[in-house]
Amino acid sequence: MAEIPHKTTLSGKLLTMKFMQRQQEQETRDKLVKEQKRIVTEAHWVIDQATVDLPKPKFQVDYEPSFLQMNATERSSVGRMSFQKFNSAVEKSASQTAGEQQLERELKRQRQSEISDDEMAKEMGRSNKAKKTKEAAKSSQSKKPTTNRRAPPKPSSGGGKFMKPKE
Amino acid sequence: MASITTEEESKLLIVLPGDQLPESGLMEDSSAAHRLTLGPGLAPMDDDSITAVKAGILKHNAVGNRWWVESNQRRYVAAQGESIIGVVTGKSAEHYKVDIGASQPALLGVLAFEGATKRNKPNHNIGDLLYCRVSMANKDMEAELECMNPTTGKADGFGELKGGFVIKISLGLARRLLDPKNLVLRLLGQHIPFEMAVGTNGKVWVNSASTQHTILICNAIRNSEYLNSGECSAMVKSLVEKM
Repeated sequence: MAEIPHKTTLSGKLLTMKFMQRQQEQETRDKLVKEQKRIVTEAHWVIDQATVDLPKPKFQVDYEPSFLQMNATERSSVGRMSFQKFNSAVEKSASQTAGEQQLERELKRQRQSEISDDEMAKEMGRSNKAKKTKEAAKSSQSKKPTTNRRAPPKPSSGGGKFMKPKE
Repeated sequence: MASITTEEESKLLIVLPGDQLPESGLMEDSSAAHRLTLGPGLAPMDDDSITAVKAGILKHNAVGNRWWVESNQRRYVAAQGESIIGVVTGKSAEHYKVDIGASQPALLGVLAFEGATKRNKPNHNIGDLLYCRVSMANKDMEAELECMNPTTGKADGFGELKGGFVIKISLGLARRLLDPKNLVLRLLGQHIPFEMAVGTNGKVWVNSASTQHTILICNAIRNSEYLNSGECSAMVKSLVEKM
């Protein structure tokens, strides 16, 4: 008797079963994800670094639009004032505010010269040799490039990597 | 463009718009980080130099390496943290529209008062005077105000100003009046009992027992703008004697 040739393909009914479908879905999903990635990476354009030459960095500038903050370290400023007990509540709060501002100034001055406990522990923990090598390494590091233009352009020193915008 | 040479500290350095600041002068007090705080009146230009954009006296504060131009003007530009006197010009469900003398009216949240809740809202009418603090200001949006100290949540002198009289002065004089040791106010306070509030937006509110006193105080404040201390005390004396 002749042998019935075995079919090498799976039957249609088998293919419709859930466990077979899962494999298919996985494959199509992977393909779609890959396609998305490709589209996104092709949209990332990078300028060739050699053609763009940015200016030498100078100062780093902070902007302060209020006059009152400029002299805040030397003068108190009290908005509401009262004289000869016309409004005693205002007089009390005015002297209080002036006192508070003076206290803050004094504390700030003190804090500038002090050092915190953590920093002190760090300093003592480092041996002299470790300190010297660390300082040498720090000074040779390049400074963060800045210009005092209002919209500082950021050069990527890592050779033209695409920078994703922050959400 | 003229460039300025920084001379001795005691000399007044007057700048005009367009004058560049010398780099050597700016780097004096800075640490290795070259940080610079620019106050009003200075702006960096495209060629990385710092240029004055207002006319006035160049001032410098070593703390924080601050540079600014002390200038005078009458139009107020809102800046965060300043205390101002405003007039309510409109009411809506969430905000009061307050006129502070800037190019645009400012918004004061209805709940930005001490102890204000949805059930317990303060009620202000159009035309009320409010002493507020600028909580947010930038050039793109209307300024936002609040009538309380942000850190403590207490009123601290902010709120409605009842009675009294408001005069409009220049911004430079308003800043000088904020000093608790201001001469003209101390002299007036020795002779007349009164209370006042100074708004950085060039408005001063004065309240005293009689209209005569109020008028005298307002005139004294207006006159004191360009007087030195000797002339100031003479002026106050002559006004008080005439009373």
